[in-house]
Amino acid sequence: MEEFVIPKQPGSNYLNAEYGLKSWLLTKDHKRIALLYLGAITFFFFIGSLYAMMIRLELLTPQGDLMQSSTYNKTFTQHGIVMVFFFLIPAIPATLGNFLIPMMIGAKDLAFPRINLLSWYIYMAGGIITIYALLAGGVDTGWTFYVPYSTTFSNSYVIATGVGIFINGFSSILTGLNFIVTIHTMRAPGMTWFRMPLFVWSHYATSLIMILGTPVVAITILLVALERLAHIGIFDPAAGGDPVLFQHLFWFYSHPAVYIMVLPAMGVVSELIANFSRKNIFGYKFVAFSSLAIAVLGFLVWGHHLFVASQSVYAGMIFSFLSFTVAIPSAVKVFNWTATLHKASISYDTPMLYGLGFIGLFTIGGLTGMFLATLAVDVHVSDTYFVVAHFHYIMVGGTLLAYLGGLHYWWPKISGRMYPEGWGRFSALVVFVGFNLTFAPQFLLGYMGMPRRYHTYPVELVSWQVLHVLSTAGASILGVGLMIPLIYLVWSMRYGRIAEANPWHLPGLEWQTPSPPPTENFLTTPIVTHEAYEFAPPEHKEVVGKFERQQPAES
Amino acid sequence: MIFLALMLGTGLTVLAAFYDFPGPLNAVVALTIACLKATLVVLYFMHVRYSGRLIWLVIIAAIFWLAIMFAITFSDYWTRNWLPIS
Amino acid sequence: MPEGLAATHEHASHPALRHHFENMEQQREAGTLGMWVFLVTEIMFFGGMFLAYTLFRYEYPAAFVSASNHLDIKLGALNTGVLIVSSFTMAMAVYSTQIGRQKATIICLILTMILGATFLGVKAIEYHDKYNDQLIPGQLIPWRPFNPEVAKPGDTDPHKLHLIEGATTQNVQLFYWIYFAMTGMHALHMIIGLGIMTVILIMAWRGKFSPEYHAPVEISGLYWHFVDIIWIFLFPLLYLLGRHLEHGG
Repeated sequence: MEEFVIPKQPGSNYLNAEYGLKSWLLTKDHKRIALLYLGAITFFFFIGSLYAMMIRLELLTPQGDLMQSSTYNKTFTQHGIVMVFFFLIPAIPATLGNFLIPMMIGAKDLAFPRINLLSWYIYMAGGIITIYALLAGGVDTGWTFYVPYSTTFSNSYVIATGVGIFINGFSSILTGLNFIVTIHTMRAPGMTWFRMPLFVWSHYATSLIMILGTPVVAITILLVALERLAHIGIFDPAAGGDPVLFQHLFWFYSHPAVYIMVLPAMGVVSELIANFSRKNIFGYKFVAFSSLAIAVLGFLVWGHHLFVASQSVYAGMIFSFLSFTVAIPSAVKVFNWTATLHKASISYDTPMLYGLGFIGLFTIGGLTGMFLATLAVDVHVSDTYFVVAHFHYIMVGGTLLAYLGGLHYWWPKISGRMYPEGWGRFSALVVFVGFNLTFAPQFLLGYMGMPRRYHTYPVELVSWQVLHVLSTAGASILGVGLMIPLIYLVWSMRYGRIAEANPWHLPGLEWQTPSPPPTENFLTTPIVTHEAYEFAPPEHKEVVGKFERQQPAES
Repeated sequence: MIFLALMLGTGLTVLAAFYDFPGPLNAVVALTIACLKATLVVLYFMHVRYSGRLIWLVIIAAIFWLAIMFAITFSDYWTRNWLPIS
Repeated sequence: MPEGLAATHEHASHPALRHHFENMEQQREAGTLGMWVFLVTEIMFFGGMFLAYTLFRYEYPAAFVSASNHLDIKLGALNTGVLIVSSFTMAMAVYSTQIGRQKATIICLILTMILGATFLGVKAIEYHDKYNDQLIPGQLIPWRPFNPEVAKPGDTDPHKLHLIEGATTQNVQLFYWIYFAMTGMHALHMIIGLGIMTVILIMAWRGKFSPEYHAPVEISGLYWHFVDIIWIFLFPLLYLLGRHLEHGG
């Protein structure tokens, strides 16, 4: 493959183009904004992890000896809120997406750079208000804010937290809006839709969800806050209201929200799998359309959170059926990734380890979702640790792993340095082991009946305690595994090996520009003439029927 | 342009005058007229009639999603009484 | 073959062209699409409230009819007319910018803003009436909670609540809750719209717009028309529910 020649230029890149706090806080460069997000998101992840640690410590023993139940309620609520709204939803889109999307389509920046910066400020504002609420006394309603507890009976800072989340939602909406317009209008010459990397496709689908779903949760939170202020009864059965209406409105967003969390992760994984097996993704169009299908179908299944909430049985059946269909595009992706690996030239670098881990853990998480979609099974395991394990497999085993994999993969592009590969692989393994040890026992616990959001369990059930101890041990290992990259990534920013423009020797457009890139991304506007993931030189491609088959280079 | 403004104006008056329909037809008529007026605003005042396919797609997607939210939520409320649950 | 290199050509660029766009057409296209995508989010935002309205109307038809009849249809109709004319003047403002008539643009923008302010003024009068009749829901105004006087049969006092059969005051309160939430949110969007119009007016005054560059006026127009459309739906749903029963109830 012919290397694109990077002209020598005097070392000016987006990191050293300007110095000073103002140049960062008032930047319009999508790359700098991505780093602003990276810092903020890491901070919130840390806070959410502290809450997780408290939960796991409490559950080591059957008695409620570490904290009172009211404190425990606040702990798991705040763990959920911080992790869902301030880590999982923005993590990949706002850091990796912001950084890479313009580069991957050959643009100089996103369509609306100032709105991009605004979305970071809105995120920070929402975060600060929420942290204020947490410090002032916390909120104990569960991250799901179910009524009438949250509107009438809870004595905690529901409105303040609600305001923080409401504001944060606008950050999400503006990011999604920016991505959609950028992808539609700013692709470089020759960059057709089907030549875009799958990372961009999945972020496009994610942006659709952000646009269509977030406003609904915004109005829902607003209604809860108004109800709490004015005590009228839109959700209060005694006053003629309907608490299930809240659940409908809340989950109309919150279910698609989990696809906001996982679709970008799938986009990262597509990149990791294709690039580290040096092979074009098997079934590119299928994977691209699956992203869209997940976005659409994801909006049709929210009622599976209401199976035991006195929703009509007939509606339950419809939702159960639709929930099964939404698994199909996800499965299509898993099969395509696997097929990509077949007879490929795989290199087991750190990002690939995370990518492979994703495929396995996401599959487990997804399959357990099928159990939950089955009405009868759900009656048994709803609101137990089975559900907790299911979504942690997808969110931690899936999204977090993909986030780490992407961070490592693109780290040379972002920072101009390589991370230490040995430590990278080691911590990937530690994370994998720790994660599974934490959450696999929880499937068993849930099946045996351990309810979620409880901080005590019967002393007689020794097997439960054994499983909880295993889970907490796993959590500690996971915690260690996550601290290590934090240390060496920060270390590498100063002491890491300096990376060349294309350290992995890959054909992607983002690798055809220096590492770190100049502020305007490309020295000259690229013109795209080949497909994504093009590994074989064109003279070695054989046209069979209407399919092109890439042959390995003859040498 | 002016013609359209007058059309909308009359649509409005007609709407206000039509409050003598019996039963549920009242709501149907009112909403239909509202939809018609909205359509005219969208097509002509917002220039959608002369816009590209992408804008059409965006509008249709929005209406479709709104419809999903309404339809499936109602599938719960309208079928709750079908099965006598103790 | 390697990626081709296209030299970024220097051309006399419009002063309003942002550096990350290749040309004005791309910028205009992006801006318009951006506003439409934003309007989609607004549709879903209001949609949630429309859903709540529909559900409760389905549950409590009598209460909703009684409450709706209590609203002043004349003021509502007036407001609807005002907004539609303002949409027209807005469309004329956009048209004037497209043909380069600065003075016409400014006049149309000012007219639009006056009409918008009129709408808000009428709304304020309506809200004041509700305050007088003690119809502000719950404890939103702590010193004047929801406590309307219910009219006895035969009493035609317009300030009293006339309940038709099957309606309870509690459910009427639910209607007013939704009424204030929806019209309040709508009014908030109107106020924001007036703010946007002010900015556009200032830009027009300074001669920033021309037949080559008028995208901001177009895009603001889209927002304004959207706010009008929301009201087009709010009016029949809130004001015209059961007027046919007015004389019988």
